[in-house]
Amino acid sequence: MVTLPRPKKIAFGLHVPKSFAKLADTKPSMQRLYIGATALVTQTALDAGNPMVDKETRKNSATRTFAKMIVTTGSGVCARSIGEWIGENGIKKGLFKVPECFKDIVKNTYSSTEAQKNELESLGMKIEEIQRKNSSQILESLTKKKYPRAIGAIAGVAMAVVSVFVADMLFIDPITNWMLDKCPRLNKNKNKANENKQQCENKCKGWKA
Amino acid sequence: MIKPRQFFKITAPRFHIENNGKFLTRTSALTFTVSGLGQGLSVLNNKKLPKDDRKYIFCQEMATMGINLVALLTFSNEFGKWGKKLAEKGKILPHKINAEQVKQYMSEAGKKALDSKVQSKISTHIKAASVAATILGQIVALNVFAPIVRNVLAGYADKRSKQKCKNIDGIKHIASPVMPATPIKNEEQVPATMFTSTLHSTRANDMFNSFADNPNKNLQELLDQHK
Repeated sequence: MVTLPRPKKIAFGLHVPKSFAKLADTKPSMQRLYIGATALVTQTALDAGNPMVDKETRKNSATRTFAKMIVTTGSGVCARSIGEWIGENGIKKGLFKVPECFKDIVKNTYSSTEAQKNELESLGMKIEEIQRKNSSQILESLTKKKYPRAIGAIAGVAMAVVSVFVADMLFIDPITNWMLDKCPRLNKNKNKANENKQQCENKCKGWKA
Repeated sequence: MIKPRQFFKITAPRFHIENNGKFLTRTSALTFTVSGLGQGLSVLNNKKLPKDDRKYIFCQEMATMGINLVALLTFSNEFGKWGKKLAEKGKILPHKINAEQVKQYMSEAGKKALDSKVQSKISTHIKAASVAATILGQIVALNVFAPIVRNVLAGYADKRSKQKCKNIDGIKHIASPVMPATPIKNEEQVPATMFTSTLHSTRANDMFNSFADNPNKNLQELLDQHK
């Protein structure tokens, strides 16, 4: 019996765009934005379709979640961005210095010069500029690019922690209520509730009389 | 022990560079814990709330924080591993690189034969896949899993509190903050004109309770319901 050779398995994979590599260096502010933007859709939808409560409660909780998500995401992204800006500019303006040992850390993480070049390219440096530099200059500029980013990320997280106490605890509820008052679409339910309350009070007055 | 100065200058930036996915997860966990504690403390300091309510809402806030934290750490960790696996197996590929090259990169012997530019591209791609999957895990944990669990628990607690108002014999007791629960036995026997009678007070309370439960319901419907 003739046995046919088994066909070689061909490996298929989904090709991702070139910009996908940039996700390796995601900043905390961007991460907060991704989480907040999706929360705006998913949490509002989940609250609007919650079968455990009645229709009116669903509407109210969904509008409140929507308003709250806008406020919390806005304050979170702003706080982190400010922290990142302070961290990155602090090094550029000489407030903090890049420690000498950090060069070794970068060298260990990106062992080959090609990896360092690739990282510099993904950080936004032009290819011609990279090609003009020798290996030690490449390591130097990568360290100078990476350290401010790391300090910026840490400062961003610190600012986020501070913003929880300053913004979230003090301003979230008033801002959410203000948004619900100002926005006529969100306010529709509240107006109706107030109208009903007024009607009920008038009726009670009539009964008592 | 690490000094705080050294921690902020070297240890934390090193962690950020070496493993950005884990850095994002741990810092998110930190901010969520602080935010949960802050909200809990603000409830405890809220003098407008009764003391018992304060304790209850504080426990609720802590439970929410716990659900968020456990979901965040579990999901982001598992998703991160899954993303890394997908990239290592060549299921998602970097730009202009095929699955064979990724397979070659994963074996010790084959790695040396690859061009250094390809090597660096693949290693960056694996890192990016891990970070992207970690963020996806965080989104699923915080925006899908935690709200569903919270809604189910809140609905269950709401049902239990409503059931407290009903007697086992079928006699309805009205839970009212104004007056003690009063059973209604034979509604038809009591004249319906006197508002001052106990029954009418209880009816009014009943109506107000329904109104409090559904503030947006049409008033006429409520009045008809409690006629």
